[in-house]
Amino acid sequence: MIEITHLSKHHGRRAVVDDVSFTAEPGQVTGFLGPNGAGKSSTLRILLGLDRASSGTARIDGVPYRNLSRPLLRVGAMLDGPGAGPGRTAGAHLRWVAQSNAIPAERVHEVLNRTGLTDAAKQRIGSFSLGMGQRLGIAAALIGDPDVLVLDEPTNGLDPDGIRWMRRLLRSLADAGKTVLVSSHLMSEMEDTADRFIVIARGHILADGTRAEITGAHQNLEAAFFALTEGHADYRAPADPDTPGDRNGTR
Amino acid sequence: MLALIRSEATKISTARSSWILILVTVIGTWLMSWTNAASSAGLPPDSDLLFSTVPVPLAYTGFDMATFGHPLIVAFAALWAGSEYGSGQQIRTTLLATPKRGRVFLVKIGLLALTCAVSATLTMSGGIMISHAAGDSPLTPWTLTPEIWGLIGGLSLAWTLSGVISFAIGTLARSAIIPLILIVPLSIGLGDFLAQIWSGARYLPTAAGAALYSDPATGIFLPPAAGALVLLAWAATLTTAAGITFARRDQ
Repeated sequence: MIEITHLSKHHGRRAVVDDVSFTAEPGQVTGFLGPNGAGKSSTLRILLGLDRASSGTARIDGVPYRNLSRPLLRVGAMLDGPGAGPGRTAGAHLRWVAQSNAIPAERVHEVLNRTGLTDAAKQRIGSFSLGMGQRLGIAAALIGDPDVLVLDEPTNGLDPDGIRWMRRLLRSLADAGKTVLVSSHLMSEMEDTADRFIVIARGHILADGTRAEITGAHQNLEAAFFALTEGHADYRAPADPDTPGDRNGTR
Repeated sequence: MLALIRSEATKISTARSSWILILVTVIGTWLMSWTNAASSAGLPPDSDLLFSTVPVPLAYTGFDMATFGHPLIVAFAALWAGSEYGSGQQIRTTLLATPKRGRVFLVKIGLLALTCAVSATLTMSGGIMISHAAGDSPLTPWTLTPEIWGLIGGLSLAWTLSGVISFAIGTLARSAIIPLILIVPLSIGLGDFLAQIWSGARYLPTAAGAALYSDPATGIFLPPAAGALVLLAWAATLTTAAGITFARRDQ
């Protein structure tokens, strides 16, 4: 389980994450939604020990990430792309990742197979498409068969087939009892995938609940999201005057 | 710790740039040593056809070829540091796999130092042997003398600490470019040139290192022991700064 409690992160006087608290439970896909610059990635980086919090705590199964021993066996994560050097092959990249946590080498072949990258194992990462890079990032996240998955915008760059694959993967992981926390700004995608939604904007949690709870009187999650984040996004084009109800999902 | 060492060793050995730079350092220096020695064989020591008309003492013969390999070792170390921070942001995967940052830094710098030391010893012991074998040397090239082995040891120390300095600067800057700009020019002769025209430049890291394998009779460099201490002070200071920064900053 992921527990984030009163988490804040300040850059100078600006709060990028401000008193954020939520949990992500096993057996569920938790969607972490927000516009660009909302604080999603900052929250996930603090959760994963990459950034330091100004205050508050972020724990995985009761332990801060930095205190985990052989963390890849407990937590798999992908942040902003594959996190791999472009000059190395996919197989070599996964090999060093596995070795770092004393994970058997067979897992490299298993995760390459699961992510559809077996044929690209000897290909240099620099030649990968955006979607292949995302799949490699997922492969690295899965290498330790962890119980907790933290994925930042995993569908970025995926083609429709890849998006469907990702949706099924996330569902199967949650159905296997794993805790899956996925950040995204693609409402339609998350609506089909997540069991629970946390909406953040300008560092504040605006809503936390099931689809029915978040959607409420709105037609769909996207409409509810726009209503919730109205006035919280750093930039947004004005509503199209030719499409009445564009913001409230009534068209 | 062993898993981390294995993992980082795999990273070095599966990076194409590592192999290219080390192979060019070793084989390139050997070829240059042979060309230089063979072309000067039979010429009087004060011949105008020689690079220097000042006769070089027998023990120091061949060490001028260090100018070829030294910048390549510096470049190798810079790329080793910068590879974590390139477009793939590999550092995130590195720290997700091993959140104990102090250990990561120590293992990285330790493996770098070992690679630099082995490469330097192999490069210059071979280069010096080739110089004596292809030239008019009265020495048995395959055994050399204790004094020459001492100078090779000094050179290996100088190259290794130059590599450590380059790595530390690259880690501080999160880029290979800065150490390449700062240290490579010094290692290809700028440091020696500056030391000839300004005594303060003898305290620059590469000029201090050159004191460990250069003829003290030239009067250009510091005494060997002082040079070693100055170079060690540079390496220790920059390594400490880089280690603390690496352990504390957000990634």
